[in-house]
Amino acid sequence: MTHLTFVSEFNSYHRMRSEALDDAENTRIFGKCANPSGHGHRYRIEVTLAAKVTEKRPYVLPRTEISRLVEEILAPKLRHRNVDEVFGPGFVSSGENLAKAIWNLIETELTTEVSLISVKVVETRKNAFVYREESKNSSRQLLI
Amino acid sequence: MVYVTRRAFFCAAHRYYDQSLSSEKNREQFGPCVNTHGHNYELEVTVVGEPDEKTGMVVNLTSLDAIVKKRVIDILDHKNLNVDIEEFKSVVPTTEMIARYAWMRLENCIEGATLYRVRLYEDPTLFVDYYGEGEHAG
Repeated sequence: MTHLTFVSEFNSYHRMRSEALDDAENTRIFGKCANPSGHGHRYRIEVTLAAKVTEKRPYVLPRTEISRLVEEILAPKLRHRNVDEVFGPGFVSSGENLAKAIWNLIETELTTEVSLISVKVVETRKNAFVYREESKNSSRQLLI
Repeated sequence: MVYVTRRAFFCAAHRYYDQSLSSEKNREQFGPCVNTHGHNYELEVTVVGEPDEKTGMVVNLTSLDAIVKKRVIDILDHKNLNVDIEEFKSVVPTTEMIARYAWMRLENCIEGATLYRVRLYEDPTLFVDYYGEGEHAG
């Protein structure tokens, strides 16, 4: 099995706020991330796919298809967008939830011969989140 | 077990072109990649094993460097892969296929450790991992 990872970066706006918590609790738990006027990041998104590669099908995904996923699927949701609005209402835009939301966006676009292995969201130089569905793969991927 | 990764670099030209397809079909499938272009490839070789009791090392990195250089880098560096490399005269030298080529060239050549993964970056936005075709691969 061969894995392919494509990397894209987007500047997005968000703030941390959970509708399930009151204002005081939001501030207590999320600290400066709950600033009511929000903030932003340059998110790095790493999508890892797998497929059986053969001489007849010498790629996990054609590069034209990768460009489509980046420009037509991810960019409209993430590039200079407010991700709370895009994935909301009620969406808590943690790195964890963003990774899962991006997983859902990509998964529906794939044909049967390609499987989704992981979605990694690098929020800042200090933190990153990887979403995987363990039941669906026995990947040997090293997460570092 | 400890996983050890060593990096190496090569620059090469290639194009995505399937000889069995028309040039229109190639362009439709591969887009601008049908034109010959080049990459600064970055190859990461990951081996796995138990550290030796005396040296504390899974693999001697100098030896690993020498093997990777002799078996892969010296062969691919500053080449036109479609033209100069026999294996890629009939197979499209996609990053996927180059990673597999590197794996096959290295697999049984590393003394004392097992090849675990070959990762090949074609640029900072795209890389391929190949784990071999063994029972637990993938």
